[in-house]
Amino acid sequence: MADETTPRWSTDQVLALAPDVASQRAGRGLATPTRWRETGTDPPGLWGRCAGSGPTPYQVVVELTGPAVHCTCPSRKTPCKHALALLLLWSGGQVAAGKPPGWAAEWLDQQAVRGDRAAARAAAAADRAGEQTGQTDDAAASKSRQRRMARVEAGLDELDRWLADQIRQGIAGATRAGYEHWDTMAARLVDAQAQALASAVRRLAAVAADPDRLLTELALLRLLVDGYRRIYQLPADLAATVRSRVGFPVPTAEVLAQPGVRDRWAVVGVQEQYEEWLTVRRVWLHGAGTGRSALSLSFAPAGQPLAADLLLGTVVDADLCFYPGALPLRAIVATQHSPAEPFREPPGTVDVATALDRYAAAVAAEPWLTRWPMLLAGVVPVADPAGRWHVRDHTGAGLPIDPVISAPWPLVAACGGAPVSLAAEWSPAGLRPLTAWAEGRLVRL
Amino acid sequence: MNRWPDLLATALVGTDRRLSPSTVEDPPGALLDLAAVWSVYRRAGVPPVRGLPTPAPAPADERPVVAEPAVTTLASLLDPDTDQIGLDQTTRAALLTEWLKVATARNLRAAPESLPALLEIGRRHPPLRPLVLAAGGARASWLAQQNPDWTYLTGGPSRPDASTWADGSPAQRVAYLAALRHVDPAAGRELLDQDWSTLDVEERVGLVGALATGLGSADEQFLERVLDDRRREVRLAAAELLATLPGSGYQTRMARRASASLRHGPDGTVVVRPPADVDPAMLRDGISRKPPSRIGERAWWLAQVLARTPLTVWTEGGSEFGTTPDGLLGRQVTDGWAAVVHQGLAEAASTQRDAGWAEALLTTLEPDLATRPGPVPRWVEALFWVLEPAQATRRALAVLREPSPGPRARLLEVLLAGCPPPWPAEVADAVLAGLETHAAHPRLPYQWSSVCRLAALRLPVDRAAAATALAERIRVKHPGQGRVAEIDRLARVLQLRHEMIEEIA
Repeated sequence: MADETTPRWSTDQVLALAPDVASQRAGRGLATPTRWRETGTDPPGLWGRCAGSGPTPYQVVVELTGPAVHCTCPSRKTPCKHALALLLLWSGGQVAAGKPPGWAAEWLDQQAVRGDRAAARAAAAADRAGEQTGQTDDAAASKSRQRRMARVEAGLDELDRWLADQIRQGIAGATRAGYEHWDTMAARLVDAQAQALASAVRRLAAVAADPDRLLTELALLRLLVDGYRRIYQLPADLAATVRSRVGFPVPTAEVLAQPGVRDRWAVVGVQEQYEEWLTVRRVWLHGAGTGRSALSLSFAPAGQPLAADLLLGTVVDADLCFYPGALPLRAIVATQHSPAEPFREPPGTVDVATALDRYAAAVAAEPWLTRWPMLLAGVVPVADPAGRWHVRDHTGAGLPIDPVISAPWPLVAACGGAPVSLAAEWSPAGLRPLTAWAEGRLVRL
Repeated sequence: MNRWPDLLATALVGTDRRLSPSTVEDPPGALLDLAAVWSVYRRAGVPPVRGLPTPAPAPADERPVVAEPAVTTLASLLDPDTDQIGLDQTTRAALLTEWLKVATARNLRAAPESLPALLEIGRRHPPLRPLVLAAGGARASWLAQQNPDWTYLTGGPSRPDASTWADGSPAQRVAYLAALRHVDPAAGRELLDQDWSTLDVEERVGLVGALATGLGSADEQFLERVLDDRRREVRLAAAELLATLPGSGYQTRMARRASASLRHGPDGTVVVRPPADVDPAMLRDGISRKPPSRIGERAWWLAQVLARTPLTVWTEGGSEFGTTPDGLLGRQVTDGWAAVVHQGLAEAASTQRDAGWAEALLTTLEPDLATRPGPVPRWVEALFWVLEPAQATRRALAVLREPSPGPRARLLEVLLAGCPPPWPAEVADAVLAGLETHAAHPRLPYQWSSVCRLAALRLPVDRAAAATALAERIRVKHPGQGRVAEIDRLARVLQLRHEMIEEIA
């Protein structure tokens, strides 16, 4: 199973796999040939034995295409420091070619079989979040699609009745209801294979205490149900948005079939969050030429590292394929034409009024939009007389900071009272600063 | 016209309960449809906020910021949730201190976005505050003024809140008094005097102890009156303070008793005449009558007198024993009183923190210590804590260079703790060599892990490579032992410190 086209990785690529800084250090510390015996590589396999603090050395095997890692040490981190060290040795050219010994060959063979199963599992995990690999059998696919659409319609009918019930009985009661009040309806939507809607209903629990917000969210749900009922009368873009928000995933292949938008895309914000047993990385991009914003999402099961392909503060000449919708925002990086370069100031920063205008246009195109990226020019954080924090631009226009951040001290400190360029996420609750460019440095907030 | 409030009001109550009959076919659906339009309108129509003040700019700080990798390291040191090779709280605090010192020494400042976390650490750990200010610079002071939690940085010692005295718990009142004594000692003493009769025994003891801050001769009169208290614990608390007050009547009285007990004898000996009895004056001065078990009465009284006498009595002009501690210690003590005399003087040396006497006493006790079985008595160990760094270093080296860990090695932890960081080259080499020779020893008289932990923080960082090599050798020779893990940890922490310091530049 030799694969001569596996090029050797750079040190940075290896270190990017590490789950945290401590593992990087530990890995570097172990990457000395004296600690290792029986190392060898036969691409895509890589193996070695490392002397640890226990009596027997640890056996480490790596499969480079995944990468997949196997180590007999008790550490729960993936990849562990021994795997990182072996990869660093290999990257530095200190591992000779060879034939895998028994213990390594066995695991590598299992990996070939597991590879398919793992792909299926990852696809299932991504499916929950709205991605799906294409199906191969057309007839079976179309039948299952029809079944699914029937289920979804039934689920939406139920949701419609439930929404009407909430309004008939009055939402004053709902604001005090427990979690089951929402979860029951959400569970029914999961059964109806409308996962995205189920998540939306569960999120109502979080805003239930605020009647203003609750009414808004209920109304927008009703709008979505209405939209789905009349989907064939909607323009194609809006129809795609409705389908996606109800929970029909768009296969990655279909996204990549769209024409790519080529531009110098600047990575202006990166956020990692835990949502429903997944780690989600949101990467906000801004096109220097087109002035468009884009959002790249990547997922990993909680605890596993995410590929670090888009680095904050760099600009990359690439083709982005956008997911179809009324307001194209989510995108996949299809082709990268050149290596990423760092930039000093983000392109396309605007003042507060312009940013709000753009948000208004976005919401007009897609009413269910909540989070929208903003790139603000020359803003400074300041507290109003009541002690609530805002950012304010040179015209004196301000945006409130999301109250969930009680005081944006890192931003205040980084600005030092002087205006900076700021990348942030805007939502009805307020602004969440992501990245600032202050005094010639990039500050991740 | 804004329809939203109406819609919300109807929705809260519920369309079923609206009194007026609805003309619409599907009231809830119609309400939701309208609400959707108005929701989107409200979201899209958010206007910018006006009338915000302009913030005052921060003063400039000419120093450059530390290098980017150092910014990341500092962030992980400040965030207790980040895993760092299993660093515990103490180690993390020590590394943070070192980081701040090195950055300041190289005339660099911490990155501005690190300042909120730094200021929080300074709020919780007062000893770090000067370092936080130094590394944070003008930006830190500017930031601190905007958050009431951080005003500690820029305010000087301020008068503590007087309501604590009235309403606080006993512990809070002690802290209040100490803080007040810091700012205005006279006011503190007068406050205590005023309320003295209302306090119970425990409070009296605690609050008298707080007078140690800002102690001066103006306090003598009050403390002498406290010596008349009925309870011995209270008298002891006052006696402890008076004993440290130069020129006080207490010191004169004790000196007189002590001089009467130890006299210059013929043939260069010391004649001991311990007190025959404890008179009321001695009781008042905090001397207890009843000895603990296995000590005779007169020995007990002699030891107490010696322990409370200022050591200058034995060496100042007019003393019969000369001008150095050896003047007294060099002589033979009659009638087997030597042990008592030494213990009394040792307690005086440790309370008065007299490094010269501690050194002299330890030299005198050396032969005895070497042969005595069992652990080192506490009153001897206390002497090691007051040694000057040079003396502690010398003794530590002597212990480390012994071919195999002998009885004196029990004191290795104490001695090494007395050598302040960074350890000089010869101590570093001796510690590493000593750890290597002792690794094989099945039973050590000291705690291997304590010495390793101390060494991890105090060895100079240029020994990182040597420590790693040492850990490797020990692992190879003694695989699977607990000591291997400790020496491994030493090497890793030292390597971490080395990288941390390299990064800052």
